[in-house]
Amino acid sequence: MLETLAIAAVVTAAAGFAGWRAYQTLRVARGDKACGGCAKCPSTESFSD
Amino acid sequence: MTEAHRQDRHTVALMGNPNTGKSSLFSALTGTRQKIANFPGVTVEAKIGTTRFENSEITVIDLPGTYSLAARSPDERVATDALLGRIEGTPKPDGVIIVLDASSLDRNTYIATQVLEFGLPAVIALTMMDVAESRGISVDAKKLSEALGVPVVPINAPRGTGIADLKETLHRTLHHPGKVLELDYPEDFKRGVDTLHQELCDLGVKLGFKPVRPEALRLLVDGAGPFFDECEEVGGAEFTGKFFEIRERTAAGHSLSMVEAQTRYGAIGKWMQDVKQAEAREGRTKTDVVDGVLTHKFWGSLVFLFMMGLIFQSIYSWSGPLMDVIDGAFGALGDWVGGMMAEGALKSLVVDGVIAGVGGVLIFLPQILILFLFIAILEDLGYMARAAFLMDKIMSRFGLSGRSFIPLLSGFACAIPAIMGTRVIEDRNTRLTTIFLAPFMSCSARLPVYVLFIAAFVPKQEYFGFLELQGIVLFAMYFVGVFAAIPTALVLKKGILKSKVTPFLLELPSYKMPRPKAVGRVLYERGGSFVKRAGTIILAVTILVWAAGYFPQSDEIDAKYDAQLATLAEDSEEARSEIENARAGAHLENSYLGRVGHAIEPAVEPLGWDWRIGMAAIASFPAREVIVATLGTIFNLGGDQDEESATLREVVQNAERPNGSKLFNLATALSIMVFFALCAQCAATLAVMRRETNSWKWPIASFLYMTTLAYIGALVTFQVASALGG
Repeated sequence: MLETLAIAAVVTAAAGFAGWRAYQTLRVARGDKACGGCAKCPSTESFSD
Repeated sequence: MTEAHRQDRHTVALMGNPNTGKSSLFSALTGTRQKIANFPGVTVEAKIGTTRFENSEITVIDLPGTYSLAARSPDERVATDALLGRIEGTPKPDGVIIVLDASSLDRNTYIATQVLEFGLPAVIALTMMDVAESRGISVDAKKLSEALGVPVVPINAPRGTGIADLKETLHRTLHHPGKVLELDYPEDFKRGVDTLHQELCDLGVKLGFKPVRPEALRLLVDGAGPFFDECEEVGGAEFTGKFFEIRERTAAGHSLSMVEAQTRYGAIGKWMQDVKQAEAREGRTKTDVVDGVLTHKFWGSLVFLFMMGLIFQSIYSWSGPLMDVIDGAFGALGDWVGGMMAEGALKSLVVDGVIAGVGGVLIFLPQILILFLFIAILEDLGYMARAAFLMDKIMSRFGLSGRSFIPLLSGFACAIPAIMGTRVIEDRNTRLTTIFLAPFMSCSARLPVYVLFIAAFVPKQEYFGFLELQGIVLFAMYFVGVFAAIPTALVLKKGILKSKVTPFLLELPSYKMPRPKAVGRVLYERGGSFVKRAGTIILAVTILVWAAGYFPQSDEIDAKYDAQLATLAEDSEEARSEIENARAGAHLENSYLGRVGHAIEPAVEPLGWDWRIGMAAIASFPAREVIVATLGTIFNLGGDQDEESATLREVVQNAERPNGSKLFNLATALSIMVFFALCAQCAATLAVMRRETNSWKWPIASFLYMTTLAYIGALVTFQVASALGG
């Protein structure tokens, strides 16, 4: 039982982390800063077509 | 302490030409960690840090290195906007530190004359005094200060000398109003600037700020650019009509850029007669002689190829002992942990999933470090700028310039900074082409894939006593992407992204002894990043792959193999081991991973792959190195690892198909390597491509194009290599 719970926790954590990374990747793709962005540092021009 | 003392805060901008030691000074002032590279154009974003002097807190904005304030490219626009306090969220500078390279003082002083016309309190930081001296040039800082009308402080940022003096001078200067530098422009030119300035002031309310006179000068000379667009937007046809009339009248048939340059260089020339004393030296300097070879079409290319060959040879020759240590450590860890835990799913997760997966990737750390050791040394030495110069000649044939080479070169480390580095490219179509080509450069994530399969399937042979076949194949793999990029560039530049090749001006920095600290920092950052990826995304994907490959556990399979085991004599260890391996293989085939894998198998079979390799390739979409970890986990789960085949290299060498034939051979290995050399298996790269192009069409096109190319490349490689008996 304990073994099943431990595995479920580890796999859920891994899936959660992978999901969070996927979300972060999409956020960066939309133009947000990977660091989170607090507007304290100057942004450079992003190319737009 | 009074309130006034506590609130003594200032902001200064740090400006200068590229490669003048500006980044080193920024680090010396603020202590902020950043990459310092002896390579022009490395700073494409402004960085901010703070420094203290007595009770003052001074915010320092490190602006991109630029040769002029003419705002034609994104880099130059950032510099001008920041100087005028027009970047949102960034305070307007109260003063400016202008960094001038004493060894190229005439050219460096050009931008100083432009900045000093803004009238901000300014201090000149004079760098590279030692380089100037070694070339027989002595610079009189006092006379330079008298000529420009601002304090001049000689500094050596890497050694920390002159920094305290600079801070003190800056602190003193910031408490006094600045002085506008007056140059002796022709009267007509001055009148034109004044008239245009008046027109701009009339637009001031609509613009939302009061334009300053140097802006009018820039606009008059440049005739276009972001500021002109802004004025045109608010002033309409009435403004543009007046603007072109003033410009035409002022120019009177002459080039205004020429008038500006002649005036500035005329003044600089006069000042330098007093400021600079150069020893008369006959003939070419040592640098000229070395540059003559390194930038020579034939000899330079030969040296470049030799350097690259040396790097790839060393990756194999030097990494062996270190790899053995890491490999041994993970093997011992697996045995120890395995011995401590009871048989079951948790033990499989830890041993087959985490240790086999992540450990399989981490053993490639020495190769990554050796690759970046060479790159950091060559970069710090000043060689990379020569390589860019050399490549400019070659790249112009494919419609690209050396300006594209700099970002593409960094693509050999990682495509993300390469794509971001394309911001220095002014031309839209050239920039898009370079962004599209960046993922073709073999990034460090591909290195573990190459090293694993080359070590396992390319024989160890030596030619001429020093050339190893494995090193040659690795070298060739790095060029697969380059060779695919060439026709891609040609098609793009001759077709949808047509544009003229713009001239590429590159400053060849002076040669310097590589600084151990700078090289060490690169190794720390790159090695750290690799280990971090192994411990985060690779670990997470490995656990998910393990779960998909372990579950569901079938009682029927267990019952079948338990029955077979029951019929065996007690001493038949070999047969027992075979049955256990078959049981593990049957469980893997029955798992979720196995079921999906079998569904996609027909698509990967022509490449010489089975479903396990296909699934490992698909799982590596978040990061390319994942394939190595995934193969480690899959083969461990499938019972392909035994006591004799302790390393992943041995596991892939011994892995079998269900019919007992070897899964991998040289043809399969080459097919996998070619696929990974050409595929776009990197989610982060595609995300950054979307951000930088502001459109999904480019990352989608890149993914589809590269995946198709990778599939065809792998297919042709496998079929040809098989036909040749590989």
